[in-house]
Parts: sequence; structure tokens; C-alpha cells
Amino acid sequence: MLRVILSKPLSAPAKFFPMKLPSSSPWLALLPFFTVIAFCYATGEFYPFSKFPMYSKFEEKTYIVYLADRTGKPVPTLDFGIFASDLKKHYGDGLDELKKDLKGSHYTWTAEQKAPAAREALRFLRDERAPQAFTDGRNAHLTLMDVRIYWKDGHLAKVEEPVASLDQITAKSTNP
Amino acid sequence: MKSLFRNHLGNISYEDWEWRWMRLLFAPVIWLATFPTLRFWVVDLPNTIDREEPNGLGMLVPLEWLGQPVPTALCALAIAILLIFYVLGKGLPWVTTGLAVLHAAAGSLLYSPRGHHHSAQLVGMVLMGQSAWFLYHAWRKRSRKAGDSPRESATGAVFWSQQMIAAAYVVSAISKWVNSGGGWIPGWRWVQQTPNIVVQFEKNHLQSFYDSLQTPPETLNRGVMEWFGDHPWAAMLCIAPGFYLELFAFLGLFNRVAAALMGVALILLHVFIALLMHLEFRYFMATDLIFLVNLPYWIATLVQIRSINGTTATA
Repeated sequence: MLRVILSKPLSAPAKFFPMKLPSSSPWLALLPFFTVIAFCYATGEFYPFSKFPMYSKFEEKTYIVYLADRTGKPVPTLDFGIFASDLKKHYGDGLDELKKDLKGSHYTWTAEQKAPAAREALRFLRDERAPQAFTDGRNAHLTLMDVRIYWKDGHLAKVEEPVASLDQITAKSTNP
Repeated sequence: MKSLFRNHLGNISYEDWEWRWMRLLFAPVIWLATFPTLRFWVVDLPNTIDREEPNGLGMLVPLEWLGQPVPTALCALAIAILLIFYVLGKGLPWVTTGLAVLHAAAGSLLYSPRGHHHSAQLVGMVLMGQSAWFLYHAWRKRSRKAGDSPRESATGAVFWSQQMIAAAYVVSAISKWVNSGGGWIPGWRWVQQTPNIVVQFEKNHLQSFYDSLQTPPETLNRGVMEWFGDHPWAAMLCIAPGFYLELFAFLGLFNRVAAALMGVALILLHVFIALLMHLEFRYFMATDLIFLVNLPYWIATLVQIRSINGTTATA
């Protein structure tokens, strides 16, 4: 059966050249393919076009964030309508902003140096993403924990520290 | 086996019935990639765009209004109507263009900030490709450079859709090649870095845990991670094929057998990634299945072969 399938002219050339481009070269039929690749690179990221940069390099270190209550006990990020990965991206954007003022990699920064990025991520949760989760003083002491993960000499190592707490941030001002 | 290596680039003819099946199967994918729910009455879009990192059409015009309840409902209604016409194959130049624009507008809300998610881009790219084909084909028909054959129309739509798919994977491979440090051998530096993927495994595992404080279902993840940690060469050998599969995804355009095999291989790649890293690319898999694997064609071919064999045996 397999022999029949593979020997059958499944890809029989059409009687017409579907593109009818001004050349007999079938490679010109790939014009949309090359155009889209060029467009993706020219724009970088313009939905739906993208360079698809995820996992385009693997470093020996990375980091994540999670949320904790005042006792340091983890709190599900989905309670605030956000995945831990998205919260990390908000925090990461804040760290990128801080690079304008601070030198070196944020892997060498102290918790105090990283705190503005963490406060901005917590403010985003409270004021924009999930204000309902903070009514009645609930989660008033929510803390953002920064976890650094290293791969060295065939072993994983983790370092985690609290970076900022919501009680360090002024409540959202309301206009009368 | 020769058929695998035949070059029919740009000359593969797709029948109208194949294209009808593809539209029927792709329509729910378009809907779910735009409004990730089948419950029409609770469709929702974010009403904010990260203004520092807007995405797509949101970079050109303010689109936050589209995330308000009434505009979102009207957008969903318009997409639903367009999808009905899409499945019926009526007015495809305008229907595919409408779908591409509305999907891109919704996507600029769903995928802002820019670069944070890449789960549905392929659907939008395929819609753009179909829209471009039908507008081009309509112009050709008007200027009498093309006939009105349904087969010609279907062939172009499928071929341009496949080109969008191939382009997405090739772009992804080029990004890996460039971002990992370049070099003369495509992807070699990326492959050399793959043992560090253990760190990414751990990151994804912990992030899944902190989402809900539920331990993620045990898949290959933990065991494979430890194995890769102990055997860096195993990590390189297991992961490197993924890079070259993406880089050579365009080979799937050369003939039907190559397209089907490439489609299956890319789906397996996504399954492998989902098992290892808890990253699911459902819309990518569905799009590969519909436009590359093209199951209805193979089922019809098998039925045809059985019927021919039956006739021969009887004779």
C-alpha cells in the first residue's frame, strides 16, 4: 500500500502555472515567502508578524517572580488574573527601564536597586489588572519575590529574595 | 520514495474540495485564536494597550475602544458572520481581508505588550496570506491574466497559506541563529547552548506552580531535565533537530508528501515542546495539520487506492 501511495504521482504538476508570474522560474512563486520573512525582520514585532525570538538563546541563568503574603507564603498569581510568566515580563520591563540609570546586569543588583521595578509590577496588579482583589485591605501586604536560577557545574542553584511589598506603595489616588 | 524528493514547487494543484475542507476546519481556529472561548455570550478583549510597547495595528491607531463590551460584541458578531461566508466560500477577497484586519486588531489588544506572547501569530499570518492571494487573484481576473477556475483559486490560497507557515518557522530559526551568536554554521551556537535549557525547564516548572500553587502534572519534564543535566550531549542531540526542522520548513512546499511529512514533524515538535516545557502552541499545530498534513486529501487518496485495488482484484 505504501509503495502505491509513494509511487502515485500525488504531486502531479498542474496543467497551468498557478502564479503566472512574469518568469518561468518556480522560485519566483516563493515571493510571498521571502516577502514575509523580510517583513518580519523589518518590523521585528507587528502582530501577527514576528521574529519569534522566544528561546532564541539559552543562558546559564534566568529568573522568575512569584507573589507572597506578609508571612512569605506563596499566593497564586491567578488570584490576580495573571500568569506568573506575564508578571515576570512586567517586572522584566521595569528592570530594563532601570538599566538606563544603573550599571551592569540586574543579576548583580541588590533588592533595593530592583525594588522600583517590583513596585511598578505590584502597582499594575492593584490598580489595573485586579483592583477587586485588593478591596477590604485584602492582599495589602502582597510581596513580590525574585527568584534567580543558575546552572553551574551540572547543578541548579536558586537564590530568592523579597524585592518590594505593596504596603510600600501609596494607594491609588482618587479624584473627588 | 522518489515522490518525496520531487520538486513541484509552485506547481501543485489543489482541488476546490480540499480548500473547502481547509476553510471548514480553519474557521474555528480563527475564532478561537481571536476570542479564546466558544461561548459567544462571554467574548472578551482587553481594553488596555501597553502604550510603551504597543503591538500591531495598536502601534498605528488607538484601539483600546475595541476592548469595550459593545465594540467587542460587534467585532465578534462581524467575525462570526465573516466566518460563515468564509466557510461558504463567498466573496473571499473581502471576507479574508475583513477577517485578517479584525483578527489583527483584536490581536494587537490580546498580544500587547509587544513580544510577550506568540501563540496565535501563525493564524493571523495565514489569514494575511489568504487575503493577499485573493486580492491579487481578483486583480488578475479583472485584468484577464487568470481564468475563473475554482481549482486555480484554491491552489493559490493553499500555496500562499503554506508559504506563510513555512516563513514563520524559518524566521524563528533565523532568530535562533542570529540571537545565539551567529556563526558560519547555521544554529551551531544555539545547539551548543542547549544544555542550558535545564534552567528554562526549571523556570517553566516553577512558573506553572506559582500560577495556582498546584504542582504541574508530571510529564517528561522532570525526568528529562535531570537526564539532560547529566548528559549535555543528549540535550544537544535531542533539541538540535528542532532547529533544523524549522530552518528547512520550506522543503514542505516542494510536493504533497513533503508537506504532509513536514506537517507531522512540526506537530511532533510542538508536542515535544509541550511535554518538556509546558508550552502549548495549539493554534500552530492546528494550522500545520490543516494546511500541511491535509488529512482529507490523504483519506480520499487511500479510499481511491482501495477502490482501484478492489476493482483490479475483481477483474
